[in-house]
Amino acid sequence: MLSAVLRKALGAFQLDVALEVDGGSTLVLVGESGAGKTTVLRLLAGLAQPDEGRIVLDDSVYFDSERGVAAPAWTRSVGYVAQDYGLFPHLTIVDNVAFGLRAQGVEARIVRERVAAMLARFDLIGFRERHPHDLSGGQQQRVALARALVLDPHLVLLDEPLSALDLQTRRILRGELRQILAGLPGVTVYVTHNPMEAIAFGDKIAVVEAGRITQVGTAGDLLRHPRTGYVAEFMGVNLFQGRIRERDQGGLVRIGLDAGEISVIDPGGDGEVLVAVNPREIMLYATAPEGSARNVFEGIVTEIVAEPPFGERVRVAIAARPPLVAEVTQQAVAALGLREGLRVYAAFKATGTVPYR
Amino acid sequence: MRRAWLTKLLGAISIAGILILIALPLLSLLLRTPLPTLITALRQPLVAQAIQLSLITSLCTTVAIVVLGLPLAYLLAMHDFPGKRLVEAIVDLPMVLPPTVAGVGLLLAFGRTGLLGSVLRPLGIAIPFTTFAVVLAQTFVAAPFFITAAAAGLREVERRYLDAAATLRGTPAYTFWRVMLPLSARSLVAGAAMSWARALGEFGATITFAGNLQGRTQTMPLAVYIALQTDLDAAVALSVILLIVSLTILIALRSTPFGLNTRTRALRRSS
Repeated sequence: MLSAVLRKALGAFQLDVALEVDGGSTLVLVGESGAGKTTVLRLLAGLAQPDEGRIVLDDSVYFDSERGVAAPAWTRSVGYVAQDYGLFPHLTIVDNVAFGLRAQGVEARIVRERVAAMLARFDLIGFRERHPHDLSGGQQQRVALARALVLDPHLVLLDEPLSALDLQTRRILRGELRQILAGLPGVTVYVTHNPMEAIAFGDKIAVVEAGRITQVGTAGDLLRHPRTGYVAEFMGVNLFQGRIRERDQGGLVRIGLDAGEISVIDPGGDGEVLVAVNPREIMLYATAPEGSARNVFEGIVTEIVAEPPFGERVRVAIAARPPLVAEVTQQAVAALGLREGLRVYAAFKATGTVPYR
Repeated sequence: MRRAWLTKLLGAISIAGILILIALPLLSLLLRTPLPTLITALRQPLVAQAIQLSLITSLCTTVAIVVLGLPLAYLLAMHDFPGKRLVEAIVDLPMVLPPTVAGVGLLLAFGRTGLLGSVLRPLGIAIPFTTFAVVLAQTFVAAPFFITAAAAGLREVERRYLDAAATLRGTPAYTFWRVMLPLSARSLVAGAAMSWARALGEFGATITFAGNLQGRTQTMPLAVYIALQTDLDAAVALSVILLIVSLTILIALRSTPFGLNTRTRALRRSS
């Protein structure tokens, strides 16, 4: 169990976050670069100290500004894998992995056994006597993990562990890493800016924006009820924020947005509401559609992106009032002759919306 | 167009001039005396004793500089503190100070009536005009070369390796020995070699503070100066040795493994 409150000023940037992570689970931190994700990891690892706050891991207090506790990094039960791995270039793979045990003065025979077991587990036995620069990116990544995990840390901190790898290696390692993390008894904090990784690894996902956590929840929570525009964009859903303007028949309300108006299922009450709309609920037409869709908007296609690259679904951004993102099939793109700059009609049913507060 | 031609000519003259100025004396030294005469000269007691004394003192000096200078280099590389600029200036000072001035300073500090000398004297300890004084003088003038190079080398060790060591339970001391020293070995060895070469060539501070006593304080540069007035062959023999040693150090620092850091060396090996 990790419980942390971290406040730190870095120039004009102000970090202020609180985290609670259960033992055996993984919290994924997502956010744009510069949002403060890496700083959170460095503070948890003890590589920097907060201005104020508390870090408690199980029964150990690593930091408490009120009681004047600030445990140095080398006393913490932390395994930290930096984005660039930081493998020691002058040491062989076996010496890299043995570093932490030797630093603690563990008996040579036990060091040998535990390192050998770790190298076997990470499929690195053939590279024992090599130096890090002789290894591929994926192998280096496994050495970095082995080096950190051989110490059985209670807190594992991973900073974009897959981002330096090519796509194919990333896919293979994502599977391996998921198995490894699932078997860890302690707390894992995983930083990424990749939605796929966040969903794959996060028992919970915390969204960091400009030094603050704007939303914490499961991937499902974030997908159904994103609370900020960034969360919605990260999860790939449309999010509208507005005020209830008028009640219609059939249990629908009209909601006034900054740009335009949409019709949604009545959430009850009055005032501010958030509305999430799955991009798959949005249909595109070349001419104004007739039929039951309450929400029809005309706009120009600004971007067409296949997701995943060369996948069969395509995300289409439309500059309408309000701006929308639709997800359609490749067949639909071909049938409509979709291209950037084309004028289209986008429509979704009121029943396809999720209003919440 | 005319100007470009003129610039090239002036450049060529300058380059030729400076190379002749540096190379001609060195060449003259090497060509002046035939090898057998040089070897005979080396057997003379004056020359042999000077070589022995120079080797011993300069090596003692180098060890002293590394042992005493490394903690200071670490402090300068890793920490900021009030007055750091001043400390750095003081460390560098002997590099620009005339060595005779250094000798006078040492005399005033450790001499019979000096600040520390007057305290040591009742205890029966007299430093000036001893072999120990030679080491002190050499340390004074040669230390900056090592300290500056070592501080720069330690500062260049990348933050990410120190962070990795810290999260792998490496205390600062353990990290210093196992990560910082190996990764800055190139700079440390180069700095020590430069200090050794400077100590070997030390003249002004030594003759001022330690005197010119054959077998006790008369190192090779001092012996060269004395021999020049009585026995030119001996002077040339010593000069040639000093020249060869200096040249060897400089070439070694540029080409052998000591001239590369661990990473590039390993890269070279793997390719």
